[in-house]
Amino acid sequence: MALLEVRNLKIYYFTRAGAVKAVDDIDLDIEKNETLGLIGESGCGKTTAVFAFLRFVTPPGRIVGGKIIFEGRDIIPLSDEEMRLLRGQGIAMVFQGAQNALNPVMTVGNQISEVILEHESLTKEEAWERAKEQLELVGIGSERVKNYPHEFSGGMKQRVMVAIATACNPRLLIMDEPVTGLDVIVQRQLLSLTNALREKMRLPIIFITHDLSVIAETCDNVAVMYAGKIVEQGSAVSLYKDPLHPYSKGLIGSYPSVRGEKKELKSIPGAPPRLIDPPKGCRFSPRCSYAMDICRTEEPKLKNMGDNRMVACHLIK
Amino acid sequence: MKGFAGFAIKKVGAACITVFAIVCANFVIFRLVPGDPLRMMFRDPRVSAEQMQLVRERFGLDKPLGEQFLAYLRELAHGNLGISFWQKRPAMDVIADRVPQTLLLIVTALIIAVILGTIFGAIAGWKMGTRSDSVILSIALSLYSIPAFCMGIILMLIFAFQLSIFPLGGISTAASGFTGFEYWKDVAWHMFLPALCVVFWYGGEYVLLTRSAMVDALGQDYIITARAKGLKESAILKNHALRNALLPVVTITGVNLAFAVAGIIEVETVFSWPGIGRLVYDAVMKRDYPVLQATFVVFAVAIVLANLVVDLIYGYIDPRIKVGGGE
Amino acid sequence: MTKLLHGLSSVKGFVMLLWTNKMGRFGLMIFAIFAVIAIFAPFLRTVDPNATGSCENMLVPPCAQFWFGTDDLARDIWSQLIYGSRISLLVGFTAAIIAVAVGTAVGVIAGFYGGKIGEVLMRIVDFFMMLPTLPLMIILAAVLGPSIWNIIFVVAIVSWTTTARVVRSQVLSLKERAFVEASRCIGAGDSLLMFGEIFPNVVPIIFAQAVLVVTTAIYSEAVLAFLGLGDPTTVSWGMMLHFAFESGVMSRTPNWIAPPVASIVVLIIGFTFLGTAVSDVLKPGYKETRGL
Repeated sequence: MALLEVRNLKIYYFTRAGAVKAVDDIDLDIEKNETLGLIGESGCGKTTAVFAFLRFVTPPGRIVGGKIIFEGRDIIPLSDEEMRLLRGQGIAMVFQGAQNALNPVMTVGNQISEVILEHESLTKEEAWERAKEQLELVGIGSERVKNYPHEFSGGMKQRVMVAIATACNPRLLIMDEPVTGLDVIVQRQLLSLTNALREKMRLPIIFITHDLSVIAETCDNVAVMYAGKIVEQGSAVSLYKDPLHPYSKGLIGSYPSVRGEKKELKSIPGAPPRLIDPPKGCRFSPRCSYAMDICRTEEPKLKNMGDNRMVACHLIK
Repeated sequence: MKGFAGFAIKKVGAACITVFAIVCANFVIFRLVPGDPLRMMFRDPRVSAEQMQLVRERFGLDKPLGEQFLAYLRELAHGNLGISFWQKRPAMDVIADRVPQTLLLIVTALIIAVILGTIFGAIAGWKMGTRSDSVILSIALSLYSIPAFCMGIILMLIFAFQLSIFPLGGISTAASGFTGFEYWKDVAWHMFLPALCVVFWYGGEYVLLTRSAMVDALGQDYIITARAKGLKESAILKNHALRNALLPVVTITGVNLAFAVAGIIEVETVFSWPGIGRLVYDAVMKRDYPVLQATFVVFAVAIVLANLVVDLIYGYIDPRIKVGGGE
Repeated sequence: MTKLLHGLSSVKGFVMLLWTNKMGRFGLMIFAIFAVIAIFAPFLRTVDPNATGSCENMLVPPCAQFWFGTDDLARDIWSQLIYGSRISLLVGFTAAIIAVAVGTAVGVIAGFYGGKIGEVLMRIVDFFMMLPTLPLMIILAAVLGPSIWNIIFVVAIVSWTTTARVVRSQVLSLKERAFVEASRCIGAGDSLLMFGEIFPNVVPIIFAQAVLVVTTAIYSEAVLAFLGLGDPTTVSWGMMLHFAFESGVMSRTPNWIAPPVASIVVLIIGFTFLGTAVSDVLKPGYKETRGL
């Protein structure tokens, strides 16, 4: 049994103009020792989906269907209190490095120890010591435990976020675009930290990004999302070597390779569809250079190609 | 210069400059504004030209402006703000007599107003969009927009005139001979309605302020982080939302002190509460310009000082300033 | 010229937007009611509000002849109330127009030219904002003497500063925008730019400020009159309260006090609601959340 099983998840935003089908019937599996990368362009629904794993779907959004089964339990029907206990300690999240993701008037030590104090029965002093350990773990000296967030740089703030998220040894960690907006050197530091966590703590991670090169560094498997649907899934290596879905092909193709031959960068023409009224059939068909008639009328289902590969495309038999 | 010390020095310096500017403005208003104050005071035609000239000399009003200004500054340095026309004693003394009563009223009322206002404002902000929020918001907005003197007259009409629960004014029952606890009970009874006025109006303002500060704080990313940690709602409200929402509330307190002054003048006048506010009214009625001038300076300087105190408090409670030195 | 018309039609659109807001609708209705009363005052009153009378008509309670009774000089309270609306609205609007005009001028110049001029102007604004408003109005009014124009001047002088600040920051942000660059490229001079391009885009903000300033102006006139600094040749609600207060018979004549107090309160609440509606409507995204 997988650690997290997502089945037929549908999340719609109900606006005056209509229902925006942000996440439309997706399936995902994450195993206990797996790092899954979730890739796709802005607005494809990846953030909405993972927010749902923490049940952070706020109105006008609503989960309209499907199951999210964590450790054998569907978390959608859980009560608010049960869900609250799960957050931070069962499933934890590191957010995009926004300026304000940390409370400016609380010391980082307090921000780490408060999650420990909430979920475990330690004394204040013990929690404080653990907070110091967490800071060491992420590569920040423990003497900085009394500092305030504004005294840290962007990269260090992200590491504090990781310290907070891993403080209670969660069974699943979600990282939402954790390195977006950081400069390359800081990115590198954060990614090696993530890899160290994977190995040391054997922590399963869902890693969201729109940056392919980052996925290559950290993920075992990858799921590609487009317009609210998962169009391809497989191991990271096989996706790079041999992308099957035309969208994945376009993504891989649009990345310049430092080592490879010099060739023209291909970008995918067109723009992602409006999700209020998605195109009939395959959602990628308007931009797909291989589109056939059937692509415009019938929506392709995610097919298991064997050997840990799944694709939703009429082209692939 | 690091953190708080540098911040404090800057603020104190600015305050000093402002006080000096106020002092100068005060002088200007009375000397350069068209309309001879002396003539206005003595509109009684029986006062002869010679008598006016005598008064003019006595108050140094016949000297050149530059000299008058220097004399003014010199007097000010000695705490002399002029002699009251009406009471024939230093204006400063007249004001000093009234200060305790004003302080009693304002400190009591303000403390209650700030506490109640912040609580209700936080609730309204926390429950934004719900029924409780709309109710609190409408009530606060109405209370705040009603001018203090109107509120005072309304309260007086209902509770003092019609229902006779509270006295008609003043600070204590005349010639009652109360002492000790009885006296203070009497004062409290007299203070109830004017204090209620101040609480309504100032508290209403705090509800609005705290509410919008709360709404802002709740929209910040660190609230999502706090939720993701699985913290209890009460902990999020207290440690994350409220602690941040209170910062702008403190700042605005300083700015609104100027309006508090207007409220004090109105409320004390309506309820005949013998404080500085009522003194302003009495001085207007009696055309006692030195006292009016003195009250203006006192109010303006008090506001600058209060703003300074508020700024310093803010600098202390906001770690971004207290600790300083962000990377 | 077309730009100015464009600015004005956006004012009309703005007013219609206010109507969609609950508070805005309430405020607009209150304003309309009082405006009608003020305009049609000569038809609504029963006797000359300034006419004093004989002893037996003093402090008469409400009756058929004097709908709200009379005051201590036998003046009809109802007629005073009707005419009082004229003063409140007249002083309120005139003072507001002056204050907003001055504030806009200062704001536009300070924002547009920036540099030394801007600095100096904003220091002046800062200083005025530091002074306590009511005490300042009181001593100015006391020194200048009781006359309606002095009151208007005094009220305007304490009210222009917020407009200056708001307009200046709007001008600063507009300055950065592309169309100013484009206009300069085709050789537009300073005044042309100021009045042709920037000003029309500031009009909605000015209008919004005007509503807020009118509220304060109405309140200021009422307070000054109540404190005895009003123009004794005119009838104003504040002055009615002042006379009632000074007469010593306040406790026995609720008919004298209640009408003017109620009028002041209703008018100010109406404009306050209107002001709140204005700031709601100006928030980005207002149209979208209403599905407009």
